[in-house]
Amino acid sequence: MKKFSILLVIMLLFSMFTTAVTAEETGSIYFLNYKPEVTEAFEKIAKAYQDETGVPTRVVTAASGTYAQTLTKEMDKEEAPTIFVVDSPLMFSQWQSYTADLTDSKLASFLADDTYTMKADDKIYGISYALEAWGIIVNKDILNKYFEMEGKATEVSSIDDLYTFANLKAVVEDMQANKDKLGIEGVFASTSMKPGDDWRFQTHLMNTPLYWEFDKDIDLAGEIPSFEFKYAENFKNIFDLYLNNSIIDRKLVGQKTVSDSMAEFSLGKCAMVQNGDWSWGQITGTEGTVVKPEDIGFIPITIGVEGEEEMGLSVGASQYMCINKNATEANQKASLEFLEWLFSSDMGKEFVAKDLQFVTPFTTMADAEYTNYLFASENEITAKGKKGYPWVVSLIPSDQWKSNYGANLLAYAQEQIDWEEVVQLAVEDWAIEAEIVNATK
Amino acid sequence: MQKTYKKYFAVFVLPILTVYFIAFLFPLISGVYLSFTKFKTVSDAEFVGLSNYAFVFSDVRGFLSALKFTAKFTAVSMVTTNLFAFILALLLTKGVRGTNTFRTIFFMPNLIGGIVLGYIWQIVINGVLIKTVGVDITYSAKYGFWGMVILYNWQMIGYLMIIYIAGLQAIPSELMEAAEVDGANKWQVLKNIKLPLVMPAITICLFLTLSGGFKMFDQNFALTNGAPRNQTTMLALDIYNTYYKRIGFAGVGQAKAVVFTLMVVAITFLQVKLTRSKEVD
Amino acid sequence: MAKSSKLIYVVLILLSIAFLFPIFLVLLNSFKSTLYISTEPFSLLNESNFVELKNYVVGAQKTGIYSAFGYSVFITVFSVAGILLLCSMAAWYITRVKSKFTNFLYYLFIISMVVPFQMVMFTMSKTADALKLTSPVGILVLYWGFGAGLSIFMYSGFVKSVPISLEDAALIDGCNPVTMFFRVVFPVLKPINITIAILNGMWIWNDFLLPYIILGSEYRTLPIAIQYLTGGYGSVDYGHLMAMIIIALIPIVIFYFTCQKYIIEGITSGAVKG
Repeated sequence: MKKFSILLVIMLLFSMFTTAVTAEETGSIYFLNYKPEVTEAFEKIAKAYQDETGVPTRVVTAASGTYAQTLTKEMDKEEAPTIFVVDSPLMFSQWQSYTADLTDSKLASFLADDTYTMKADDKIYGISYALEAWGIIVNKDILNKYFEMEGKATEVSSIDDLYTFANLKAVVEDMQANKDKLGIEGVFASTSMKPGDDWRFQTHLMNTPLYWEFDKDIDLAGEIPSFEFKYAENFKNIFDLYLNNSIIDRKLVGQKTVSDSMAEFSLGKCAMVQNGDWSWGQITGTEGTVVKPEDIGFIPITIGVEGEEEMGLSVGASQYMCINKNATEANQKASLEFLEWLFSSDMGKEFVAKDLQFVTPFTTMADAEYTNYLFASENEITAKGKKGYPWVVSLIPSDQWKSNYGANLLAYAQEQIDWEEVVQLAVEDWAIEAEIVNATK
Repeated sequence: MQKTYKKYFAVFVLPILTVYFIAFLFPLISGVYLSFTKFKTVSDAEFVGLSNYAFVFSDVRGFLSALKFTAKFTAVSMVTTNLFAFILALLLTKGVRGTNTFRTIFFMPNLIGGIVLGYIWQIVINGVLIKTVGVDITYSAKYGFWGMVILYNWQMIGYLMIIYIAGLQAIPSELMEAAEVDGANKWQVLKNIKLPLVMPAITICLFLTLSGGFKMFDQNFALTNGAPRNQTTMLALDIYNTYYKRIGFAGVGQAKAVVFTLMVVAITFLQVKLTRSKEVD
Repeated sequence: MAKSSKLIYVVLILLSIAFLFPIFLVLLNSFKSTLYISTEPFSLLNESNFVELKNYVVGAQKTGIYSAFGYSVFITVFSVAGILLLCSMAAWYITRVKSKFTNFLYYLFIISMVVPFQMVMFTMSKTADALKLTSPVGILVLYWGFGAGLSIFMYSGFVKSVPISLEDAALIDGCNPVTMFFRVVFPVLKPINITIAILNGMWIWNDFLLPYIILGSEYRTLPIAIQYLTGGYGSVDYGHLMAMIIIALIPIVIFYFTCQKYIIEGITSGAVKG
């Protein structure tokens, strides 16, 4: 007993005076990762880098939809992130006092030009690391089966004709009516509306109506404009199409997750799913996948707005890496070296191409080999002369708005509230959140 | 003796007092202070008077809705858990075969943590709802509410039952025999002997379910997480969301926590007082 | 009489089945692929949904459930040991040395019994961060502090009933109060030690919010590992979730069946005194 108690007293003293060992000379790296879907990849990379260089490397991932809060919380800590991410000009303006000037860094020299950077006064403070595109991912094999099917009700016979909402709707509804013939359980994968998994709809799908509403005067860095939801009916068009022509009943979407939806697509149970090129790993990595990689491609999201046939995918650099200016010199240096290693060494580049699957704006990545057919599909659409939708969702004032909107969409999907209420709440919430955010700028 | 002991204050009390100060007292005091301020990081707190409290009492979709839900949940589950537990205790004090096995089974859920409980019941409740109604638990606040009540019953009944059994077994057998001689029927025995004599156990059990229900977080977080549309958010979860989900609202969250604390203290105090007054010595 | 007791028996058996059913359901679904869980939890295993032990293997890898188990054991054991040691000493001192000051200390400690965690959640995490207590070792300090209220309350009640004569005798024999405490008082406290160990052990083992806020997803304890599977970190897989719930339940069940007597006694007397 006595020995035990002595041990405890020692433990007490030990824990009270313990301080984390920081390697001051070499510096250490703490990267607050934005993208939950690459959590494991980044942890693997951190470990590999630490093993190779001996520099303590830590990656922490924020749960989806919580990055802003997590960053606030972590920045308040003694050991704050040394590399962090801003996802919009608005967020950049909130964190500008923390960002180091990267203009003369080696990392910035990897850039072909400064399109994909976050700048202020002609200086670079943030650099994008992933150019992403999203739209509707289709299984071309199933679509072709439909185009060649006897007795189909539409004239559409090529994927190139699916660039208007009217055509998309006609095809989807006819396919749904013939789902048994096509060997699918529904045209669209489950609309994953489980809270936290609803970002494909409360954020990404909003990009199109927001683009049309703010078309002419988008100032992503300025005050958040007031929002009327002018294209609410159009959002409803596409959202209803997803819900009513799906594998599952629209009342059951509340428990569905993104990985459920991607697995359904991968297993050939459905022909379409709205998502981005980042989901490649999920599709091809599903156990028992049947869809052939070369059959996977994109079509744009259409919502029934005039002129949309000229538009392509939603594309953009959504996230920018920043170095925490308030970190120690050694840590800042170590962090930059880590990023340089990641995007220019052979080992790093392989991680980026194979594990992270990021398309980067860096010239050093030009010779990297990707296996993602969605990238090829993006290039085809651009080659057709279609214009990409910019990343307008960064106008959304807060994560709170997104999660409220998601919850309202779920209630609408379950037929618990009608569409007018969703629209009204979206507009009201926007006004409340915009006021809060504009006041803190 | 006291004099010799006094010199040993540093050995006996100081260690725990230090950690208690770090873990509880200092956070408590600074928490009360921060409830009157607005801050992004703690170092730049700015005094704003009662404005956080004004927000709390006008937060219809947040705090006030959570208060209503929590009160309803606690009231309903206090009655059901205690009722079922008491009935089980009556059944298990009749000397049925396998009493110990039953007791073991009924008590087991109480050892499972709230997060795990929440996910276990999510599967069960969704399964039943999908089979019978064709919807899941996020469909209506009604389902979330009863889901929480069922979960809490499953968790607490065995625990309360054990306490009631101890209470019932402590009733002197002479009393029961005397009642039988007097020709009292079962109902009279229950009402006039058993109930009054297990009143201390009832006080404890009501206290446990009241404060447990009112302060519930883990189960709520895992089972419904507020769905649909924040309608099943309880107070503790609402406070958590205010702190961690909204930038610039930590002061409001802290004010909510102060109000919450005062409510917990007042209610539990009142309840203990009320039932204590009904106890017989 | 016989008839009614048979009826009671049947009712109890049905209730037992109802009580065990949720756990059985989780066990069943832990062998299914995630696609079949959220919509068809009641279907039995068949060729299309059965994935053998894959959920266990992949889920364990993804959550790091075994290291989570290690963290949970470490934190629980040392928190409880610290609480037993520090609180018994303090409670004994407060009870034996009667003064206004110790009386004040007593009430100071038991205040924490009625204050809900949310009250100190935010400021405590700031304090812990400033003092660098955000590690599995540092969090012990927080548990010692948090467990102090109830434990000192219960110890004080018990110490009052311990006869003082033994202690005096030991002191006269030349012991100093510290050795006297460990030789004479601490052994007498054994029954209350068990009660306090069980109450605190169950609380800490199952505690979610405190380690979630302090340790985050870096050092996952068991409840955090479970939550991690559904908390928006990439893919939510219900199959992994079910399998990890079963793994998390195993130690509880083993503990329960080996120490059932102590657990039930501890909890009952804990409730009665609390």
